Amino acid sequence: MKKYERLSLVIAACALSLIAPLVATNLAGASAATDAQVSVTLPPDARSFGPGPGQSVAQANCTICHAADYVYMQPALTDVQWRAEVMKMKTAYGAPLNDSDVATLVAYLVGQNGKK
Amino acid sequence: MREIGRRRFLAGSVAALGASALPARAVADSVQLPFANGDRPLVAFPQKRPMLMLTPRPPQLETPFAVFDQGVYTPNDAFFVRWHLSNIPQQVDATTHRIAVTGEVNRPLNVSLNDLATLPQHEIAAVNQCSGNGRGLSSPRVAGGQWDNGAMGNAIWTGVRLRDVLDRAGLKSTAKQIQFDGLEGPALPTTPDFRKSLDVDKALGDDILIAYAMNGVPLPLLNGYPVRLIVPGWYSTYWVKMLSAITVLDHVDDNFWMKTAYRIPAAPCGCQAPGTKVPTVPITRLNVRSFITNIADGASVPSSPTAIVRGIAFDGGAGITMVKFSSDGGATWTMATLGLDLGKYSFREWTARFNAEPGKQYALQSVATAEDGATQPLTLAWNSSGYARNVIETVKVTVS
Repeated sequence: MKKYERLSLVIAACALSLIAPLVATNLAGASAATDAQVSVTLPPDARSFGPGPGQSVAQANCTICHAADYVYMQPALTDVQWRAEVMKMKTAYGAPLNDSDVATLVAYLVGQNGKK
Repeated sequence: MREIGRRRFLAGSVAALGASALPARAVADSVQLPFANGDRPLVAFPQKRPMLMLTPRPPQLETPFAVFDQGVYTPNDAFFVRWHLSNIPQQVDATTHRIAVTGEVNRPLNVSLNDLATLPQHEIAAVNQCSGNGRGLSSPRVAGGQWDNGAMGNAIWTGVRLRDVLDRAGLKSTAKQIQFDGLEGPALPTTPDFRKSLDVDKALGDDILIAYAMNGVPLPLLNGYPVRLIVPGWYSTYWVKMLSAITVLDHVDDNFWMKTAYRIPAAPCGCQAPGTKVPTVPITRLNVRSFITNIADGASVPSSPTAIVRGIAFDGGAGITMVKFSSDGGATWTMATLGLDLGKYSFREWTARFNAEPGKQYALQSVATAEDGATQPLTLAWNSSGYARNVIETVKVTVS
């Protein structure tokens, strides 16, 4: 095993110059500025927050980090569940949400995708 | 896993040249998943075919389930995508990319891809499955990425052993865990950067790779180009994409993504009663699962005394030893025939037959058993994060 690995090292070293082209292939849907550079353009957000009181709070705070789809993808959540999500975003993920806007945002999310 | 020669290493690059370009964004259609708010547009992201889009930013893309019936390896352009943070480089240069190896090491390193090429090359077939695969099917429903069962894939991964890189750096006796970080970053400085850690013993295992190729060609950018960590048998949360830093810690990692996120109930079932709080541990090893791949739920099939059912099974690395099939919702079971053994971490294909009589309805199920005796539960081992689903799935069919 040891010997085989040493041999493999020698072979690999000889082929060093061939490595760059290898990592530069498979550019379907991407463009290449240099051989090994992969460049893509990710699509814009698919949808925006719907109208309602608190829309601007959601737009200003949530979309810094993620698309509105994160809200509409969820199952309908209760007021308690949306509050838990909002507080997780504020405390764990550091969303710059003012304390005074928490209630507005929770009510907005319940209105957009909530249940009793 | 096996060591591979130089010729094989280079052969993949030639095959990749035939790949065709896809439009950056082509909304073809949509798919209605079997749960509320489960309408998913099919969107083609760069280097990807149209996939079920959960969210565009950060991108979360699910593999159309029919793909799993088209081959035991999941094509790169259909392989699921899941990012945590929205600051994802859209341009990556493999020639300038480096992996910084620091912390409790004797020789800090700045490893290039050319450096990796000087180490022994290995390849392994392994399933990469999201911790939350199938979360959308949880009952009661839970918040999180609302996946059907397409947040998984099987590929041949090529790269070097993490151990060989760590050996070059030389672990100090104080080393406790190895932490991995990729180029993905948060939009806000207040958001915890996505980092994951393995115990030293785990990290030094034979199967843990730093991979630069997937099914013989470079990784798509959205799957972690130019290099990602491969942790066969463990959920994808550890398979850090665009790997850029390896930090050897002298303590157990207490960052948010280890201490707070990606945890499951500590009970052996990994389950809890809804509404309860229970002690948790980090999610690690894949539960054993099996799926029917050639017949979709709700489909109509032609009558036949020997209707063919195909599927796949996998587990966390003990290896699949048995798959049983039922056409009557689990009342009676027959032995399925296992396909080729492609390694203990790979999808294992299976086939079975049943008597599909005209006009009748059937509830098709499969249950897999692994070498360690682990099998699938009849009812969901529910947890509040929707992690590690492995309940026996049911496909209802009507015979025409």
